[in-house]
Amino acid sequence: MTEQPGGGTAIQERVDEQHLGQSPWVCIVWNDPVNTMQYVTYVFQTYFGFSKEKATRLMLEVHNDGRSAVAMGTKDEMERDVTAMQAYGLWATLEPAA
Amino acid sequence: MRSGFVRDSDGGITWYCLPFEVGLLESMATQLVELVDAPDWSDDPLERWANERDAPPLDREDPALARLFPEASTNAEEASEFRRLMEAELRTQKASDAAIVLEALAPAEGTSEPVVAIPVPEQIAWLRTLNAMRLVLGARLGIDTDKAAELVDEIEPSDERAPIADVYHWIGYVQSLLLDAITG
Repeated sequence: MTEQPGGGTAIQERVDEQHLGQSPWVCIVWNDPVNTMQYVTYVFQTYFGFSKEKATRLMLEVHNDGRSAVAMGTKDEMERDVTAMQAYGLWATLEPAA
Repeated sequence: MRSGFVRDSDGGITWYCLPFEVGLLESMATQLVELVDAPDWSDDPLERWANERDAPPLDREDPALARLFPEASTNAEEASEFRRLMEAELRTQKASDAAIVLEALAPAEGTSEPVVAIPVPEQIAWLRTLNAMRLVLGARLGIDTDKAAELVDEIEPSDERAPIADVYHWIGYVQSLLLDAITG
């Protein structure tokens, strides 16, 4: 689970990739009653290259909190990530970072 | 006789399955291809663009399609832009994933002890396709909350939804075994 409730500990890797001057966007994955915990964890590991521990933590955040910001970057990058998540069948949306 | 998913030394998976399993997956994969109704593929980018432009819009009144292709934003303008940019690609991706599964199943069709090869480059397509099948069946069963998912586990054999629920559970089981074999 996150150490800072509501904080962005999960998405720090991508922050460095942002282009200065563009406001960041996030890729949100939402809880859904069909996708299994095992599959969602696998997707986070496979697509983002997260460790099993980090992928599991994000999966539990989705499961328990209803949603998790799994990536942050430019709008174009987040459109790409949302597309990838939807290709895997995850319920993903994009929004400006809070 | 061997059964289940066996991982080979090169990471490829061999699935020793039953004839009815081959038939059921072929039927489900074929239905999935029809449902996503991807624009015709062309190696010519201009022709492909025209095909994508002319593709009939998805009927999001269908809960299965609404779930396979969720709106990417609560902001209507953003959601519309995402559809314009990405929807054809997503339809094509889901159809080509299902086509990979169909091609892998074809040699096993009609055999009494089917053996299906799932090499490493095709494993993601398999997992995504099994998942898409579950999402479609889940939508047909009205699973939109965790509570509704629990109720599906309690469907009686006499219930008219029982056959769909059986397939839904079976595909979840197959996906889980395949994931175990891939990651194990």
